[in-house]
Amino acid sequence: MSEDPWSAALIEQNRRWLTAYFHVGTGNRTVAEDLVQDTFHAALANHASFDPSRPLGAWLRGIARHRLLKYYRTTSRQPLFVDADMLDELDNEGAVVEKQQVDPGRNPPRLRALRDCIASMTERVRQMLEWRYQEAVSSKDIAERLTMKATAVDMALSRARRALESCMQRRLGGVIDE
Amino acid sequence: MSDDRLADLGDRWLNGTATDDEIAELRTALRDDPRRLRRLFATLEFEDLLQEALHPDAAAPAGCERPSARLRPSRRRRAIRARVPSPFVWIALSAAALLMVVVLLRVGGGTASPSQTVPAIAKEPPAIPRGLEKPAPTSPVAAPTSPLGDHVPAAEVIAKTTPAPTPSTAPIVAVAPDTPSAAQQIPPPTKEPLVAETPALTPPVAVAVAMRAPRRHQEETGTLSDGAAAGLAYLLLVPKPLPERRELGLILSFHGNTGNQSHISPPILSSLEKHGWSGEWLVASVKSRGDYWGDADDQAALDTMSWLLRTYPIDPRRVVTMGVSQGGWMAGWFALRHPERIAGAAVLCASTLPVQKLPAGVPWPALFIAHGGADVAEPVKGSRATVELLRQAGAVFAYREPAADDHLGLVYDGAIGEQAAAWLHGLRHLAVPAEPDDERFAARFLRRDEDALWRNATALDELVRIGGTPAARAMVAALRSRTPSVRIGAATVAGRLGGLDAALVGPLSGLLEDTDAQVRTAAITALGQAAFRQHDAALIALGRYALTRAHPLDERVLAVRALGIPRLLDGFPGDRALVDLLVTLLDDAQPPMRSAAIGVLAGITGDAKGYDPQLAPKEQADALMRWRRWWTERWPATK
Repeated sequence: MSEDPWSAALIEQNRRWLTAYFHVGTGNRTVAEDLVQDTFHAALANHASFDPSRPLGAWLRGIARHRLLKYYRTTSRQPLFVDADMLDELDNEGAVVEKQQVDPGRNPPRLRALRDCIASMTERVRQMLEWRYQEAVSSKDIAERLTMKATAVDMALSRARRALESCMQRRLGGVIDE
Repeated sequence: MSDDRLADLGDRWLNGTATDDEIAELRTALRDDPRRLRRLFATLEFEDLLQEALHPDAAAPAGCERPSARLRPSRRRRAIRARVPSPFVWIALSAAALLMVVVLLRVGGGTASPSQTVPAIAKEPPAIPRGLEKPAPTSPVAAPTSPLGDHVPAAEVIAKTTPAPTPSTAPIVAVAPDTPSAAQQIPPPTKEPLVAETPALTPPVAVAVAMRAPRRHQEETGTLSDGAAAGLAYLLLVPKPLPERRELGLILSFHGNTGNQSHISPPILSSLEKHGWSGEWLVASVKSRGDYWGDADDQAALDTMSWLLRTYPIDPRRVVTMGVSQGGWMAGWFALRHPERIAGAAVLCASTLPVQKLPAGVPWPALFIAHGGADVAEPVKGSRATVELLRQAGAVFAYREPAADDHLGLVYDGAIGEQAAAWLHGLRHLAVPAEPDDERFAARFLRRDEDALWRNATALDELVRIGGTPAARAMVAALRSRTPSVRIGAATVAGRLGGLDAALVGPLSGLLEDTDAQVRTAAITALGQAAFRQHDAALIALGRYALTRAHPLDERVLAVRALGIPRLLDGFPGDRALVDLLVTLLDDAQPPMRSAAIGVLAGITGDAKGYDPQLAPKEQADALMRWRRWWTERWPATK
């Protein structure tokens, strides 16, 4: 694979953390995916201005920050990050996640642990998780299938996620994200 | 702040349900301790991990990003959806027996072309007392040889190359045995191993698909120097940067009488831009040798096309023509003269085309024909005659006749331009083979152990790009998959695959009865997109769905909105039935349905005629009467 920072592979490596960056920044996954696309488009269109001796991720974060501010100006939803200090923190955290995601050895043990944890859940919770994360079934539809309220489904899924995180952390024997 | 509270707030922010107060609370918490931000990122990362963990045997192929929890349309697709106005309904009024034959043909994936005589929509008995019997969309339908002698290459090709359905599954596409088929010219599906050896969608390719560089068109002008085209001035609108693969579409545009190479390419590009597709197209135009196009220009156009195919990364399956007035005639004539090379054409306000039945095995170029009803310079009767000839010949075509447009008005009619663009964009020549890598990649979608591909947005984008026969084979199988997410993925893609509506609308209509609400929703959306491409069977299926009160209200409303895609009243044979459907829905018991219906009607006429969707029908009999009278006067029974 080429070492050229403009190679497609490198862009692919930056996509996930950028999506997380925008999702945290906007609180909306769909908007985040669009902004990621916009960011790469802008990066590709202006690649001549990129200094290859500088980190690509930082340069992308500069573009992303601009896109995020632009989005804030056009949305009616109250922004979470309202000043430069907070945006700096967002950038810093984006850099941390970027480094984590390029580590090929990070996910395999986590996946094994998580699968073990999922296997220990009740059948009903497992079913809800599968519907949500395997078949992308909405909370409303899950609620109909289980004769529950959609809010109760959200709550149950939220609790299940936290339980799984704790379980995975225990199995890995330490802190997983920090 | 406790960890639980922080987690709650974080979840609500990330799923978009946080109130302003909660956002403010979360903001304060983050200001107090910025390290809490890590919790939000960790939540997202964990969700990705969870999704991956729940797909233990469906690891994403190299370079394919793990799909999101939900399949989300791109902004572009949402924009297209957002243009969808409101509801529609239909009525069965005439020639029931003949029309039902056509309906059955289409619902059964038969070989009817998109724009033959438009059948009225069969309505559900509970909704419409005067309705016709509803044909069962999923029942096996023997497709008799069409009385119109149709060719529908996609349906035939798919029927002949798709693995046989399981015994319990009704055949989706039936083929008249003696119908000449384009499949005869199409290479059989690869017999090579499909997965391990398939290098397609390697990381660079995946990213090239998912993250296409924005392309801006550069004008390239000059004078051709080779062959019969030597000495002709040209204008090329070339997307830059050029893709590395041969994936661009080519529109050969033809100017009108006394025009030149710079006349119609810009509006064509503009129509493509409205869809967000312009980066996928190279638009080329040449000045005719004389003031207008004639037989002598045929070789010049061929030589120009060959030069372009040699010079630019053009997919030879995506060569189409488009022209206006005398150039429209040239676009249609050239496409019909070289059907082995031209996938389709958009013919605007042209005189009658010399339509002749094609030799066996040669697929029809898919024609989009439009002519302004108020055209004095080139009377509309010319296009009407073409349409009649095409019907008799069994061609694949769509016809629009916006009543108010004159000769030039049609050229600048944005709705017509957008529809022409939508028509051309999805076409792939069905007798020109795809690249071997593309064939292999599309074949992976047929494998049960590759179900994850149907949840992978990048992979689906690639399937859409490949389109044509390879995609159709995969689609027909996936639309009847037992896995809901596969059906959702397939239905989502089906809406984006123009040129295959004749084969896919039948299975999509069947999905309207699916037990999974998301599958039904995806099918409704896909059928709406097919309706935009003038496919009558899609209109019929959506209309029927909207009329059936047993269906969920939100889906009925969605169906009406899907039908509300911009149409030109009186510009298409189906408009009469569409408006009838809408007027009927004004009587619906559900206010949302009434609201959707009046929204579309008022959009057409600019006037609600005093109708208020919040009032029960019985409380506004006068307004209902005004609408019925308007409908009757607009389309008298003899029309």
